[in-house]
Amino acid sequence: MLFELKNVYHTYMRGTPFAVDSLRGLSLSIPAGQTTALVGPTKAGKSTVVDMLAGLIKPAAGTLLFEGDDVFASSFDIERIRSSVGIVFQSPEAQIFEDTVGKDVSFGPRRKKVPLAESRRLVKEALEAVGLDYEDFRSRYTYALSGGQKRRVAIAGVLALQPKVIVFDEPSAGLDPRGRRELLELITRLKQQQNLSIVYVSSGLDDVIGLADIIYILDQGRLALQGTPREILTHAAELASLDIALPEATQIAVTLRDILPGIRTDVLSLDELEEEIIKNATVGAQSTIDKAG
Amino acid sequence: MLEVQNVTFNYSAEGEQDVPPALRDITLTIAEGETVAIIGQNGSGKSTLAKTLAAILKPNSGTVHVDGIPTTVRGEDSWTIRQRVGIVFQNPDDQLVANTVIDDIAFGPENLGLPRPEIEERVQEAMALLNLEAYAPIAINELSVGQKQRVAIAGVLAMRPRYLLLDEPTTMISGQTARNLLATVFRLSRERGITVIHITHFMHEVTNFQRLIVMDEGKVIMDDTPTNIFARVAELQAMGLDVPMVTHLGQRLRARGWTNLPEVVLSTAQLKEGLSHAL
Amino acid sequence: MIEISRNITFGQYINNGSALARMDPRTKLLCAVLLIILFSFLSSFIAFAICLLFCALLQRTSRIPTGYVLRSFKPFLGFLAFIFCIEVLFYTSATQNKTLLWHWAFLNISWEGITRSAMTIVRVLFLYYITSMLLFATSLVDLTDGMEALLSPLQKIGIPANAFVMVLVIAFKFVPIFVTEVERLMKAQAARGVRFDQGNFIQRTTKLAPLLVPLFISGFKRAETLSVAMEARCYGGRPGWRRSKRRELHFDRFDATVLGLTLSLCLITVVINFVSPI
Repeated sequence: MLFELKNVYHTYMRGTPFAVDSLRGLSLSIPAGQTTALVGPTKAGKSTVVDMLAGLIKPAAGTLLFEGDDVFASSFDIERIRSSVGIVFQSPEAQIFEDTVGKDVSFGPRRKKVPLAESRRLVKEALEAVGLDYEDFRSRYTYALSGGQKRRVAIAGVLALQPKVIVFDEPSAGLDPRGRRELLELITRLKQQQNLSIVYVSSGLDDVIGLADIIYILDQGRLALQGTPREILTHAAELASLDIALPEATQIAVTLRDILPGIRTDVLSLDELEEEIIKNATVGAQSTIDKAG
Repeated sequence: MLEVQNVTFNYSAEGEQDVPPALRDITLTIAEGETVAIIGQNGSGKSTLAKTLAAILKPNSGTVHVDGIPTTVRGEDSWTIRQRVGIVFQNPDDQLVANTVIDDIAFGPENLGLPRPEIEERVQEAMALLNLEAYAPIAINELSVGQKQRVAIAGVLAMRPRYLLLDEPTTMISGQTARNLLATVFRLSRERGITVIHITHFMHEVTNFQRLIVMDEGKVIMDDTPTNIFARVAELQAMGLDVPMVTHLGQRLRARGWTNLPEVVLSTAQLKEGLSHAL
Repeated sequence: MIEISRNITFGQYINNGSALARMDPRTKLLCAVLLIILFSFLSSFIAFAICLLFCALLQRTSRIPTGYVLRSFKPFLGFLAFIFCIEVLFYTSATQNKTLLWHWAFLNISWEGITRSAMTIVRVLFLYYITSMLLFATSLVDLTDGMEALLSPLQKIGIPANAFVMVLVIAFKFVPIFVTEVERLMKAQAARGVRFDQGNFIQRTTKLAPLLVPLFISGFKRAETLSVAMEARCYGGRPGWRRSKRRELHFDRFDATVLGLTLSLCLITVVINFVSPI
């Protein structure tokens, strides 16, 4: 188990008139080598969890284990987490500050005083992992890149540190359909080609339903639901009440429930949805089809 | 009426090469009271078109007329255009100025130099339209993005515009909040006769509009009703766009024998209705 | 470690409906200015003691927890202590040799030096207190409306005071937005190996470089969009353009009382300042 949260509590701005509870007894586990999704509406506590996984904040109560060890025990070296966890935030292109791609991606390794040859290798591997050719891009100016290219460069900057796990914090927010598609393709590629654990944080299920091995639904600082994508989708009503956007296919299935009561909501694609409708509609309505056909 | 006549616009300066124009020879007219959606990929020119209609950008060639006034005019008339054409952008943080909700909505009328009672009247009216009365004294920083966006729209409505341009207003909002926003916008159009022009890249948002304009690489490719455009799936996909899943579903079900379904299914509600008749 | 918002208690309006909060902002601003001038000028400990009483009364009227206010002093007490030491050591005057305590090369400690430096520190504390209280007890909208009203004579003679106030309004509005952005940037850069909480003071300052470039770029983009949005709502210079205002300011009895009290304080303390021995 890579990470384990056990009954974790956290309050922002503790002791001030503006204090707000962000986590109230959250427990979940993030397995190594898999893609875990953390889904919840705003104020569910997702950002707090991300900060904790990055070793940036301490829980007010409860335990956080990393590879079995208590992160906040005095014997634990916080550098272990910080060098193992890479985080990609929303609009990661906003964190680029160097003038060339090579310099920006190598920023991390340079910080850690990695020797030049090794640093070059890391940059090359990182750029190729995100689908950018090293020779072509390394001396390109960052300001001249397109939005999508900038995003890849920013992600490469995180990969260059060779983290064990990458946390994507709502990375598709604000992207148009094509941008979103490209991003998900990139993450799928990373998932398949790199030996990485992935944590994907989002406010809707659209992105993660095809990507995640396990999904945790958070609400107001607690765990509301957990399961595989299919298992989660069977709780369509509960998800809607938590204001979590359902994937298109499930949304359609939910709306059709009024007239096709038996229809399953755990449909992952258009094909499955089509078959479900045919199955449910034909049972007891064969004659109508024959008449219409 | 908004008239666009052979408009070309390029963001790059004179002499800069290899930058394609953002708008290429666009000609179209939008009548008062219409609800129009403009869709396209990033880079298709849709936001540029919106800014040209709002007189924020002046075309390199061609003309744009708002109720007969050219957008290149200077002086008093240019402010008339600004008052008549309201525009709401993607990020409410980059549009809202004041500290509290009520003060921001009053910003526009204050700029028009209106007398106090009239400002108050318009502010109350705008807040009522967007259900913001309870939020009047609240600091904008404390609102959610969806609420801020409503404040931004209210602020524009307080100017009593004839045309309301919404430039990808739901990009930072999700699900139900985005749907509510659109529903509000339609209600405004019905109740107030405001011409609504909605720029977006989400196909599922355009189904209720009277007219859909599809843009690609600076040109208008399609200009028709959503139903007619949704039928042209292959062409849309060639441009990197797609119809909503429900439309694909409708096509497939028709192919499997449900021929009483409409040829182009625009929404889940339509699908449900069509199916329930057959069952 | 990276929870910046927690420590910013300077300048946050606390809306508790107290009489102080509800006052006309023009009065509060005028009184604040008067008090600031007064404090800068006083040099008698008795006068300071009377001012302290006034501040205690102010604190009561505001109904803001005293602990919270005092905590806002924390960040710079260390700095003040440092300044005090430097001032004492480098103090020079014609009369100081009468009270010299210790002496080494060009450094010296004298009673006179200690008292005078203490006075400077006390002044700074008073100034900080008054400014903090003004900001705690006055909403942003009130502050800017009050400022605009008080600066209106300048506007009438052609100085763009209103534009200046608008700049302040927008600057304030962006503070929380930029704080969030800085926090996020810090986290993003921390995720790339920058440790903001390590290293000495100089090292920590150079680590700010990867924050500044993205912040400036973002700032300029926002400024551009915002100015376009403002113009679209008809904000802008055109000949003979004047903005009207929705809010009205009301000067009432309580305001008159407070103003009177402040003026009395000023008179009394100035007199004491000249008359009293210490």
